[in-house]
Amino acid sequence: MRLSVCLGGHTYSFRDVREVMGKANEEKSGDQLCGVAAQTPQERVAARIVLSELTVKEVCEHPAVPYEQDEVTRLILDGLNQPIYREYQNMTIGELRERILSAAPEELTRMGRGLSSEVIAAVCKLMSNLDLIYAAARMRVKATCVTTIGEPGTLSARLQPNHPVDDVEGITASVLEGLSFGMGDAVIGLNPVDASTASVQAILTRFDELKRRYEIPTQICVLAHVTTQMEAVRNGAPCDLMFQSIAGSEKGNAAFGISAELIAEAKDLMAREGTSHGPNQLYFETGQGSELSSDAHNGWDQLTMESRCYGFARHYAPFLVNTVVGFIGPEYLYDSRQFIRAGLEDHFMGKLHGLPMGCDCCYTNHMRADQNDNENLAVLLASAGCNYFMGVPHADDVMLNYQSTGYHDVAAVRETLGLAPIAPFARWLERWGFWRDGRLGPNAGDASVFL
Amino acid sequence: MTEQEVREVVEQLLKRLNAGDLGAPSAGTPARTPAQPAEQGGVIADLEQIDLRKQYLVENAHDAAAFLAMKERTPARIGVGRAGARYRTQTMLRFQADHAFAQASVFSDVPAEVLESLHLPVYQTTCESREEFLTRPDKGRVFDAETLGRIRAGIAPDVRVVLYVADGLSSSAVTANAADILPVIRKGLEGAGVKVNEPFFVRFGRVATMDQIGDGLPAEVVCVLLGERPGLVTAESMSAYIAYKPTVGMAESRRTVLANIHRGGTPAVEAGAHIVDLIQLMLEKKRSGIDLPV
Amino acid sequence: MREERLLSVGIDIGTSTTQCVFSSITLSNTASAFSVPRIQITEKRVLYRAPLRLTPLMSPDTIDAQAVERIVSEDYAAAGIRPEQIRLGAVIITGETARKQNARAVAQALSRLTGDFVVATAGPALESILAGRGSGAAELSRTSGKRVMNLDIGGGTANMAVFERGEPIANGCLDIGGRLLRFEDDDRTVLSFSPAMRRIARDAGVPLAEGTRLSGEETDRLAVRMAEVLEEAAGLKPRTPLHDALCVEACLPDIGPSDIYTFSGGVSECIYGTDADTARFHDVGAALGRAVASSRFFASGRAAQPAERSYATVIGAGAYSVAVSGSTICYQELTFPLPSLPTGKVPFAVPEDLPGLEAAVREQYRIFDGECAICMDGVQAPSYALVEQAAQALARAMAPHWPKVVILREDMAKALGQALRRAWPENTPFLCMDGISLTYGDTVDIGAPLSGGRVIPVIVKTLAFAAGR
Repeated sequence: MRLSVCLGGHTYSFRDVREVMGKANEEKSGDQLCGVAAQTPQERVAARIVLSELTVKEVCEHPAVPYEQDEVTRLILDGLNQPIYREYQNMTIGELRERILSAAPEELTRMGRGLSSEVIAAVCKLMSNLDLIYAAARMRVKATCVTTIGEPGTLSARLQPNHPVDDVEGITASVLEGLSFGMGDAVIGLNPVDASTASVQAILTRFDELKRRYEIPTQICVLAHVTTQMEAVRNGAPCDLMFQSIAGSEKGNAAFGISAELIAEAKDLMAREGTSHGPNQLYFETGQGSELSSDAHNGWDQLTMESRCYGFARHYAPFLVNTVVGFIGPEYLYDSRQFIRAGLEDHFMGKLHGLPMGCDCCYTNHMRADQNDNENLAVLLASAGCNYFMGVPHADDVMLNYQSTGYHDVAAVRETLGLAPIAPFARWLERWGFWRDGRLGPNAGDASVFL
Repeated sequence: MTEQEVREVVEQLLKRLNAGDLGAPSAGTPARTPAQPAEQGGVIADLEQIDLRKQYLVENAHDAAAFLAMKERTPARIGVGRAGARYRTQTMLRFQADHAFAQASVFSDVPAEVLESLHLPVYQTTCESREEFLTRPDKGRVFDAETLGRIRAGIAPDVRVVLYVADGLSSSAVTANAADILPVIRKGLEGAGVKVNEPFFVRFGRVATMDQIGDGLPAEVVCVLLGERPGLVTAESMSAYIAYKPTVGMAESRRTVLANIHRGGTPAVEAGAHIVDLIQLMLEKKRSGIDLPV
Repeated sequence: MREERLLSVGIDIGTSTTQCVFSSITLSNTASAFSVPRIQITEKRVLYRAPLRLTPLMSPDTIDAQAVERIVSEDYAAAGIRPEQIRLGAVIITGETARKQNARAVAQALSRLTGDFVVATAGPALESILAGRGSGAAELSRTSGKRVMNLDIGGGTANMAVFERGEPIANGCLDIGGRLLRFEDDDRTVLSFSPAMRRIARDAGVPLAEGTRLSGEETDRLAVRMAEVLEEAAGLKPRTPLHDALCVEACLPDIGPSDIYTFSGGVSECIYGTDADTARFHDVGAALGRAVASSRFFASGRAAQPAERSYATVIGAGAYSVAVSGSTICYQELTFPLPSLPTGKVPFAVPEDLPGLEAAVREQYRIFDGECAICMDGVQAPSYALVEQAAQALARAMAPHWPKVVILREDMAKALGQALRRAWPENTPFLCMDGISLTYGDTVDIGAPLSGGRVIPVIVKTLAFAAGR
């Protein structure tokens, strides 16, 4: 393993793979907070040169957390397809990058099965923004819960009708307006304030009523902690899709109150009691920096830890996975440049893991970013073939106090890039006059047609 | 008086005054929203004064009244209509204005004259700049030894409750609420015989500054009032974090939190009065956070 | 605690029937986590409705109090509820019955069964609003966004309330009811009729005398004229002198037609055909029901059937009469309940009102012989200085009076209360609460604190006669 490089007459030496991986990243405030970031732009490139010369095998054999200590590492490494891995193990990361950029879609799908999360993170660090878009655009990942998302030519949306006190009528108002803009083909999914099982059941029941009354071809979800949802399901609540936030290490997952065993139990419960047929019945959210915030990063950079979330996720064949890219705050992603980069990275890495990736393009008010930046990221990701975005009323989430993509933003991206909701949902929208000839229809935006 | 007598008194009064309601705002009441239509040479009405819950901009709606009735139940920006697939100009500008106020509250300092008028001495955490404050949460929790010494020197030994203000993530929250909430808490506690320190202000301060300040002091309760991360609904929201005998490294669950203090949430004076009761309860029960029964 | 369920009883002693309904009222903290609590009534559910009974009378002018108490005791037993379980309650003596000599005494006699709270006798204004809330008309106006008028037609009177966005905007009462004209058993031979009925008959040109037999056509003519007067009140037909003559206390303001009309009260069962045996009352009610069913109300397509009909008023009394105060309030050393306090409303809604506050409070005490609650709108998000100064003014003006009760609409009662506590001698009994909106002259019944002492239940007995509340 060569960990030194001479660049412009200056020699840069790195202690280990961890240091190379940290310093090869694009600038991120979270890596600086963690103390793993490159000190200068030159050092950053030097780290990338070293990284480009490491082999797949060398990176794979240096997991971020040791195999013996961490169940996420075990899931990632034990789950690799060995024949495929052996095909690629002697390739350098630099060669792997070129292979990814020139490969046919089928090869990309196959290749991902043999690449560990650290390898996928490593190659991501060598990709420019357009590389990330170009490669991801050829990786379509479909998944089926009640309906199937991820078909070419589609861009789906999670309808996110959050409310500061979970008022069911207020939530319903936001749902109806969202539907009228064509939101909700990925899922109608609420982040609850009140984490009680009773409240979660009440909202699931209302979503189910709406779904039945208007015969909406979609899936429903309330994004409480997985144990709360499991209790609701055991109490007989209708639930198509089960949600959980996940992290890239066992310790990080413990901070979220979950383990591999618990997620397996949830998956098993959904197979038996879920109101969808599946096979994909889980929904995961991730985001760069969450491991550092719970001191569960083991000294590794936030991009690698994020990649490991996807290695964990793919073990459970989820229906939806998205990064909540700009929610965590400026100590991890400082400004628009950093969160746009992170969004493209996460989407690419998730897709190469074989996951049906979406993205919550978003930012908080204490970041140096605004809605223009968010719109930029949405257009870039839609070009990259992102499965779905969030649909939030006028992009302003009044419960979580951050800005995401609005109903209007998803609709405009669809029209601009010639994308559509998934076919059964589009037919349903046409019946209500919300969608016509590849654009919003005459009733779009007027939810009072439901009343 | 009997019910019948009351009824007669009221009837007579109403007749005499020929008015439906004596309690209507008195004559000469200024309009709360100086929202005049834009006229040539006049001032364009303040977008921020529009009550979004009552705004409905869908054109040719099938049943506007019915949707408005639903919309009343949520502060979400719905019923906003559209221009093609994009936002209407008015709602887009309101969104931008709200974001501008939110960012201003994060990225600007509390004006010196505000702090002077409140007679608040200013101390600074180890953060050197606002950018450092935003990216280095660890530095926003602590003071250097000299600063900490000065803070503690200003707290008399018989003080039972330490009260101070920090900018946190919203300077606007301090500007909008500190002048009303501080005296309510001080008067309320002192009226109940509980001694409070002379409040001070911490620049670039996070919640956990209270741990370092309180650790080892004879005072029993520490209460910090600080600016919350602003949303678009308001940039002026303040939170109170209160702990009984805080120590460095203590569990977050030992803090009692009171959020959403602003004009449209809990008004500052009411929040202050509630905090008085909370602190008295803490002094009595000798605990705070999830251990405090409320 | 996030949720607390209370049992409530409503008892309606009306002109023809007495009703008793048990409800559960749920109080919940609806504030988001880490906020000042906001305790609100979040659910009202009818648990048990006792069968309708004829109101027992000793004589035309006297209610049989013992018989009423016996009826209600039986209802408790049938519902499986003990009186001591009741936390909230209201007795409403409605319509013509309220004019009986011993109405108030009867209500007092029942207080043993209605918990340690409040006994209310209602006027027509409150009855109208309670019926509109109990029937579901108020809720319909909220969910539909339409103007909804509820007409509660009982034995003696028709109570009308108009709602927009869930709130009453007007109410009125007419001397029209099913029992104004009573017949002999199984016959149309006139047994008795009220003075109001005499006017209606004169207007309709129908000769009316006790012991004479009316033809079917004559009965219908009377009923149609009564239905027309309802149409006049409802803005569907120009008003005639008969309408004005039949108004009780005050006419419904002429505010034009409503979008939706709902009917409740005993006669409504005859209107909607929901009671097969309407003939058993032997009065004009059945004919009145038929007349309304073929009136402009239905021809205009604006009539709708409400969720509750016969039981609307009593459900309103049991489940909808109580409001709860805001959750940051201040009180000490008081004994609850405080029944039937008149309220003197003073102008204090903006800081500019402060200079006149003290004099305005003194004036109200003068008007109400020194005994009333002082109410005001209060200032939205007031400054500390304003709260202090208002407290000083109130403290001076209220010092000699008892009980000391301040009721505000805006959220400022705890801060004001703490300032008042400092201004008065230690342990002075007083109550300062907010979250209650009052109109001049309302009477309030104030109950014992609920939800761990955080909120105060209040029944507002409105005297509002007019629109614009």
